[in-house]
Amino acid sequence: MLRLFLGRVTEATAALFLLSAVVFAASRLTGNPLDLLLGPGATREDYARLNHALGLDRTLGIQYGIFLLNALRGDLGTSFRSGESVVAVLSQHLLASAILAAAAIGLTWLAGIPFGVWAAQHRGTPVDASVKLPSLLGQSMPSFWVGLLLIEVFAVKLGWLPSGTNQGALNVILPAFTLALFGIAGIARLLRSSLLEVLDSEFVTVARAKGMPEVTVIWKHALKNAMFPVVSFAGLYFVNVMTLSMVVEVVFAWPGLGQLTFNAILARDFPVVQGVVLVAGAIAIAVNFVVDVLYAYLDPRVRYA
Amino acid sequence: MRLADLTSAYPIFLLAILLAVVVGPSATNVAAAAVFTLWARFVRVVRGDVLSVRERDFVAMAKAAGCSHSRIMVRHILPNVVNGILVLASLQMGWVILVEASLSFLGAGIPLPAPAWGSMVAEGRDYTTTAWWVAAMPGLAIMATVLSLNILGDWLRDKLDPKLRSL
Repeated sequence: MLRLFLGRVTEATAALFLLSAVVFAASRLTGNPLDLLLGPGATREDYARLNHALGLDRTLGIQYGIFLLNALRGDLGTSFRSGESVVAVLSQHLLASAILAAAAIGLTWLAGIPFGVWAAQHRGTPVDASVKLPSLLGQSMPSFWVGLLLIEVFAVKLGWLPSGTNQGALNVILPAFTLALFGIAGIARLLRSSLLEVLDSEFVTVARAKGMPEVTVIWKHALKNAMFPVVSFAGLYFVNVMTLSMVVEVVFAWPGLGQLTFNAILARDFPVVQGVVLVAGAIAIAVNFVVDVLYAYLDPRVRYA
Repeated sequence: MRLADLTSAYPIFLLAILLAVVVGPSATNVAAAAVFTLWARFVRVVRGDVLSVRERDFVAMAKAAGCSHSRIMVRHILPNVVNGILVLASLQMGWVILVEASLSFLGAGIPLPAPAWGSMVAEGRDYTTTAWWVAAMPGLAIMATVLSLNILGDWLRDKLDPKLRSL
C-alpha cells in the first residue's frame, strides 16, 4: 500500500510539473511582456532596467524556477483588466464554483445510482430501455444548450425556478441539474452493466438461496461490489464537471471560475487565464490522486496487483 | 506509458482555452488540445491489445517462418488491433465535438465568421424570447450528430470488440 501511495505521489507531482511547464511555456509565447508593461514612450534604459528587475535577462531555466517559486508562494501576477492580484480574483470566484460543483456531483450520485440499479433489475424490459435512452441522450446534449432550454422553459415560460443569481439557494437547482445530466447518464449506464455482472456471480446466488430478500441482495451485497467501476470513474467525472461548469456558469451568469474565465478570454486577460488553468489543473490532479488512492484502499485486487 | 498517464488527467478544455488566449482561437488549437489529452487513451487500448495478440500462436508461427519484426507488426498484429482503435475513435469523436461546441460557444473555439454550431447557439442567445429556434436548432444539430456517433460507437463495440464494454 505504501509503495502504491508513494508511486501515486510521484505521478501527481510529475503531472503538476508538466502542467506548470506548459503554462510557463504559454506565458513566454505571448510576446515580450515588457511591451505591455512599458508604454510606447519607454527608453532603451527603461527596458534594460525592467528586464533585469523581472529576471528576464536570466536563462529560461532560472526564469522557470522563479515562476515556480512565485506560484508556490501564491503570487500569480496581476490581472491586466482590474489590476488586482490574480490570487485575490481567483479566491473571490472559487467558492461559487465549489458550491455549484458540490451540488451537481451530489445530485449525480443521488439520481445516478437508483437509476442504474433500477435498469439492472429490469434488464431487457421496457424499464431498462426507458433508462438507456435518456442516458444516451444525456451524454449527447451540449450542456450550454440544455441550460438555455431549461432557463427558457422553467424560468421564463413556467416561472417555477429562478435563473438569476440573487434568489438564494433555489438558484443552484437549474445549473446543478444541467451539469449533473451528463453524469447521471454516465453513472446509470456504468452501474447497470457492472451490477449485471455482479448479479451473475456465485455469492449472489448463495445470498438468494439463503432466502434473503431481493432488496438486501442488491443494495447490501451486490451494490458494494458493483460500485468499483463507478468509484474509479469519479476522478474522470470530476474533470468533466469542471470542464462543463466553465460553460454552464456562463449560461446561468453564475459568479464562479467559468464566468471569470469567459470574461478574461474576451478581455485577453492572460494572467487571469493562466491562473485559472494552473489552479483548476492542480485541483484536477489532486482529485484524481485522492480517487486513485481511495480506490486502491477499497479494492484489494488493485492494492496487491 | 507514464507520460500517457500524466496527460490523461488533464482537462482538454483548459488547455484549449489557454491556447486560444495565447495564440488566438483557431480550429488547429482545438485539434491540438484534443490530441494532447486523448492520445493516451489510444495508447492504453492498443498496448493492451498488442500484448495479448503477440502471445497468440499465429505470431509464433510467423516468427518461425522467418518474418521480420516489421512484417509481423504490420501484417499480423496490426489487423488484429484495428478494431479497438475504431471503437475508441467513434466513441471519442462525440465527446470532442461537444468540447469544440462548448469552446466555440465561449468564443475560444473556431473563430467567427467561420460557421460553428456552438457559436450559432451563442448568437441565438440574444433572441430566445422572440425567436427561440435560432439558438435551439444548432443545438439540436449537435445533439443529433453526437447521438449518432455514440450509437454507432456502441454498435461497433458490440460487433467488433465486446471486451471494451467498460469504455
